[in-house]
Amino acid sequence: MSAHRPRDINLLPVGRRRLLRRQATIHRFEKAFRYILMGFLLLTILASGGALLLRFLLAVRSDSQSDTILLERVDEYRMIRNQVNDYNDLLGLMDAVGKKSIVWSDYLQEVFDLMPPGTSIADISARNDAVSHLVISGQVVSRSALIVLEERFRGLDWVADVQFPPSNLLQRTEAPYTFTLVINHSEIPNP
Amino acid sequence: MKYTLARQLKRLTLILVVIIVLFLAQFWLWNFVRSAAFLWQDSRTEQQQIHIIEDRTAEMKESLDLLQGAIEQLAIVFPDKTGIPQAVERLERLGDNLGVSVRIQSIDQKEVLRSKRTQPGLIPVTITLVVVASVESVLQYLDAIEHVSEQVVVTGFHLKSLSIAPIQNFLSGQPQEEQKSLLINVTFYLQEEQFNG
Repeated sequence: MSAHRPRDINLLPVGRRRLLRRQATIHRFEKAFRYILMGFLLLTILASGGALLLRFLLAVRSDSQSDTILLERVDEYRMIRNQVNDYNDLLGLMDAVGKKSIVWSDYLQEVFDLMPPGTSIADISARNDAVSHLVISGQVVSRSALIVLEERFRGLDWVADVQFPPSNLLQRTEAPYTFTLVINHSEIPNP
Repeated sequence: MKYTLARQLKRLTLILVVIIVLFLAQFWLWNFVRSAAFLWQDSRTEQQQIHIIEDRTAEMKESLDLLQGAIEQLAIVFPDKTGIPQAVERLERLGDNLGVSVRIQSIDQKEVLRSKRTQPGLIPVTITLVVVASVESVLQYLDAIEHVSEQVVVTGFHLKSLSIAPIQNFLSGQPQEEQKSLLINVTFYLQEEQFNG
């Protein structure tokens, strides 16, 4: 026989003991539910606080206007960009015009320096087109001087081609000539 | 005792009801938070975009200022549409300075040069003129035209009757008495429209 200590002996009636057990069970449930309730309350506070904070920040930023501001800024940017493009295009155009320019007086000076003694120039004309050229006609003292002149013309940097009619070679002395110097556009220096 | 049990049950039921209500409220609340967060994120993105656009606009404005300065400087080289009389006067004045006779034969306005995008372009104005003087003066005049402050392109010229004296006479500085004729086509480029910035 085991000996019961006085505190282990339950002298309460069965009905009372059952009631106390029920109460204890309900109490445990209640305790658990309270924790759950506190959890949900915490979540609710967090959600409400977050929503309020976000709404407040949105209101401070006057969110309703940011779309309009963004569109305005984009329009302004586009306008300035188009202006910059226009300016660049105009500068490009100006540059192209500058490159098209031929300083004929410099070329003429070079041509004059190449003339063999006794050579005369009767006529000079020039055209600055897609194919630019300088046409020189006159008289040379001899056919050999004509050959020398042609070779000298071919030696010029800015001359792409030298054209002359075969009739240039008809006369041995006092030969009239016509030379067409085709300009090499890639050699034109920028003014 | 029974009263206490009933009260406990009532309290438990109440807690349960509140839990159920709060549980259901979570869906609405967090959905609300999510939509507000999206709005906030959109707002932030927009603000960032505005800042980026503003930065780029500022950079673009700097480029624009530089270009405006360059174009303003080039207004001397490429005058505006009203520059035709000045251009003609300049050609005549050059002739006066060199003592050559200058006669304006024609003034033709060509088709406006423009790139694809550019609204304002360049108007080529070709002035045909006849210069009569000694070879030296005529060539000096050609040289002077080619070095004026405006951008000019001598699109063509025709120098006649140099045949009388050999070219060496001219080059050696011997006097050239005979009058020569130089027909020149000189093209000025005028800005169609001055930018206002």
